[in-house]
Amino acid sequence: MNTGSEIMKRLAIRVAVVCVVLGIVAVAFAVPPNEVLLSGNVQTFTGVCCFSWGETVSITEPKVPVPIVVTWSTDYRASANLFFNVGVSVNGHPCLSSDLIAAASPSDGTFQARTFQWVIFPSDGLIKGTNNITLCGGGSVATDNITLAGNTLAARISK
Amino acid sequence: MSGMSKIVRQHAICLAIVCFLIGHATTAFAVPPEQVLKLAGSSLDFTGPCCFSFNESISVTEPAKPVPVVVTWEVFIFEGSGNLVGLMLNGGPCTFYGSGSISGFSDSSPRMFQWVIFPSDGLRAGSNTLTLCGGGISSGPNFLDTFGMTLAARLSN
Repeated sequence: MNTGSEIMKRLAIRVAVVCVVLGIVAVAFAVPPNEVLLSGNVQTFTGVCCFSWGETVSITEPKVPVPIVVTWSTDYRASANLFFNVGVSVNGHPCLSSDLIAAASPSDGTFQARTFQWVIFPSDGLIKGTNNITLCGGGSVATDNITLAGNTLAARISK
Repeated sequence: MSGMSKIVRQHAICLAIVCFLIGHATTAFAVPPEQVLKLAGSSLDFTGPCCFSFNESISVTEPAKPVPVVVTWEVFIFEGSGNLVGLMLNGGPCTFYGSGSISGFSDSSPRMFQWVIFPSDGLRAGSNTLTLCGGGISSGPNFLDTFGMTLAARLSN
């Protein structure tokens, strides 16, 4: 009886270990829902670079932060004289505006579509735990307008 | 000595089971082939007003509690009139899950779109079919000439 309960105890410990391991594996591959964002609203931003465009996703970094990949896909019309800067801000830090959107106002009233991908390194300000990634930008040289229609913002940890 | 080897054997079996389960879990997270579509070197032309099926589909398998899906479509466009492109979820209406505009132009270029579909959009446990759809929005001839495309989905959580 004593041997039987000992076997049961060992079995229970092993099952627990397996469950913990499986849980860790599942969490490692999981992507929390706030890592993706879909905005269907038409919204216009006016100003010189750089200011927040109000769209934020969050991503959770491990103890030792690793690079993340952020992808933004949008429909837009822009009345800029030259270009618009667009980028992301990490945890409220200054806008990393490394890309440009050219002026676009199709005469048929349609929108242009563009997709941007940014790779953010720990040295850009990523910290252990929750990190907020916010879209930002503005007119490159003057106060201009950019109107966004449907757009998505998604972040994922690089592996 | 016999007891010792029994314990070692039990631990070895336990370790093998854990490794087996981790291996299976990793495989489960790999991208299944039905979640991607690649049409390399294929010219596809779509003609007509929005919205109709482009008859190009992928499938994504949702867990018991559906999670958001991120879909990316990369396409090389020769030329086209003003078009909209979206997805039909499980044969439903053509819906725009983000950017979907292809304005009228004649400059050939690759384009990429990213769409996010949430469970509230109608994702269900098990297999879900995502079909490209769209069409022209101009008052004149509506056409979209493409060459090569990839369509891929990944589960979020």
